[in-house]
Amino acid sequence: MSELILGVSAFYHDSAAAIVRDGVPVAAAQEERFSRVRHDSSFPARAVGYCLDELGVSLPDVSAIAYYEDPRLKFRRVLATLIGAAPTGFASFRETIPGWLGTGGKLDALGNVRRELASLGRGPVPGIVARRHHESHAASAFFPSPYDSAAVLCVDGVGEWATTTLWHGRGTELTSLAEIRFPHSLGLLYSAFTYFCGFKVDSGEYKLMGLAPYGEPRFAELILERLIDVKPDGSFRLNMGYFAYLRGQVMTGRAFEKLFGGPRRTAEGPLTQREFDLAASVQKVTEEVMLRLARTARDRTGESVLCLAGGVALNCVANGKIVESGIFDEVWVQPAAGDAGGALGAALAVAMTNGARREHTGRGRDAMSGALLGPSFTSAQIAAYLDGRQIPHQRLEPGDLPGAVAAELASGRIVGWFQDRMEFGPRALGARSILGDARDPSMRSAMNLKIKFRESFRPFAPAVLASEVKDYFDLGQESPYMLLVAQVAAARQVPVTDTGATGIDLLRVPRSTIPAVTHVDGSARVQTVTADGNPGFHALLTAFRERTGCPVLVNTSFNVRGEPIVNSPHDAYTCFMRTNIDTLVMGDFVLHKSEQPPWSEESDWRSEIPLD
Amino acid sequence: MATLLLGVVYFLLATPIGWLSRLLHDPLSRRRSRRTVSYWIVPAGRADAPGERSRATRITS
Repeated sequence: MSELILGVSAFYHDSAAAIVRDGVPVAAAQEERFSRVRHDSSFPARAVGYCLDELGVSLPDVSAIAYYEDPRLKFRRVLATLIGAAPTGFASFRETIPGWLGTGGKLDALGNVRRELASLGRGPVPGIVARRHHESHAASAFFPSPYDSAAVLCVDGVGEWATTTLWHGRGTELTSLAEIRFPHSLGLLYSAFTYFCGFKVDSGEYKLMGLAPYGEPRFAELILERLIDVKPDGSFRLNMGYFAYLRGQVMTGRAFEKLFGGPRRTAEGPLTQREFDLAASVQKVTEEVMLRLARTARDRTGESVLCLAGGVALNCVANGKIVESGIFDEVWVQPAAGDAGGALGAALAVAMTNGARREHTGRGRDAMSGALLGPSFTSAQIAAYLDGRQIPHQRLEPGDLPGAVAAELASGRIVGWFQDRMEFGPRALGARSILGDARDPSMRSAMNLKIKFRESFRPFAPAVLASEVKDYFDLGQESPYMLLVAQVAAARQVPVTDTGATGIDLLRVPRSTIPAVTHVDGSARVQTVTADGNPGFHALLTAFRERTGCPVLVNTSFNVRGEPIVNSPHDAYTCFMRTNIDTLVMGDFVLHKSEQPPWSEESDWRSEIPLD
Repeated sequence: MATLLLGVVYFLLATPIGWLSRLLHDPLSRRRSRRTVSYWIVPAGRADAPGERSRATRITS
């Protein structure tokens, strides 16, 4: 008899649900994909419903519900923080405390989960178990990894008290070795700079990472002198005199502004050299801390492989530096490294406690199924959607699809690629992707401005056949979840002429034979694709390589700026029609923009999607 | 009314406790020391302390 554990993360950001069967992830999704509210923090009712439906079960079939953090311990931290800041933090106290107390308050998060689950009408709610926030991260990092044993490092903003934890994973056990506690947090340091540079906290950190290569790290020494005291073993403390998050709802205060030459950039304001340099500086410090933490993880555990999770593990530049350093033979990063992955980790932790085994390690593969754990739609369902709305389309034989789509891509068209099960985690990995020709120098600006409607400084990422990754990138291991950055191989680089370009204009200077995916420092956020991990996407890349000689495609998420990645055929068709995507491929069905009827909406959809 | 009540709790209860705790020790470990070798904390005595397998806490059933 199989044992099912349902994991839930909720009420902060990126709510999600996941089900594991006998310790193996079988379904997982973020609530935002269903609600269409980015980083949705509400109870993941639709994600839970999807997970149950995917397995054809109801709540009584589930052995236990695993919640991703301990609300009581978290409340004690919040209370200690507010008391510790008194008397300067009354505004924060007034805004925070009512949300925690009373019926429906966050302190009763487990009761809220119980009530929300009961209201689904899916039968009696099983027992609810709380795991600590970082234990959930650690479990999500180690248990689905391909390793029998590993060092495990979790780094994020904050959960209960821990902000950085070091674990030793062996078999089905995780041992906590050491931790760093709030308010000292590498994630919150990065978020403070994200905030100061005018981006949203818990959302815009990846933009800051993308901005870093435009700048010089001229503030790095200042950050190390004034803001963070880093010990040789990677442990650290922040100088809280420069941060405001203990006493208010903002990240930085006047001391921070004085240190870095004036007030923070306003949202959507012009980006100046200061923001470039601040981004480069905090990125450099983050990489240095992560490298020291990795060395300590190696020393304390004696392991040769490392597993990573927590929001900071989404910093794929820092991850790439750890790989490049050779401290570990290999690094595995949980694809849903942020709080959404906590739902999966909590469920895995409970499953292992209940005696589940990790049989996948014997096969040398991870247990994430390529992170394709979300909803899928059958050909019949897609056909019903298209026919029901009289949407013009062609249906191809499955064997003809890769060649036909490769031809479209090779001719410069931009393709919406909707296949298989939706990805779990923030990255589109070839199931809900927008694809283009990485060799095309105009592809980046076309995608940024006409498809994604996003900031022009942001680079795109390449998907490459795993068998040919070394021909294109200096990467010594697989990167199936697009969470490692590596340099474009020297053989693919082209001489850079001095065009006099500065700032964001640097992105227009070709630096390689795949300019659409090469950042201004010659790096790329690589996704390696195998036939095992994603057979359909692998077939497309193979067909593109056969047609063009190039096994690389631009792969960006199927959405516009501020919108969650598409989930359903309706979401995909809507995004297709709102943007300048040329061709939409859903399952075996191909839709050409030129054949579609005019698209109109009652209001301006762009005004309805809040900027991220 | 709620703001008044919260103000009473904050200024008459939380503030004195905060002052007192900061006088007696460093409750949020805010002090930094160049002489300290490491800021790592070993989570001794916890369910997930070294050598002990972590256990779930069954909150409701």
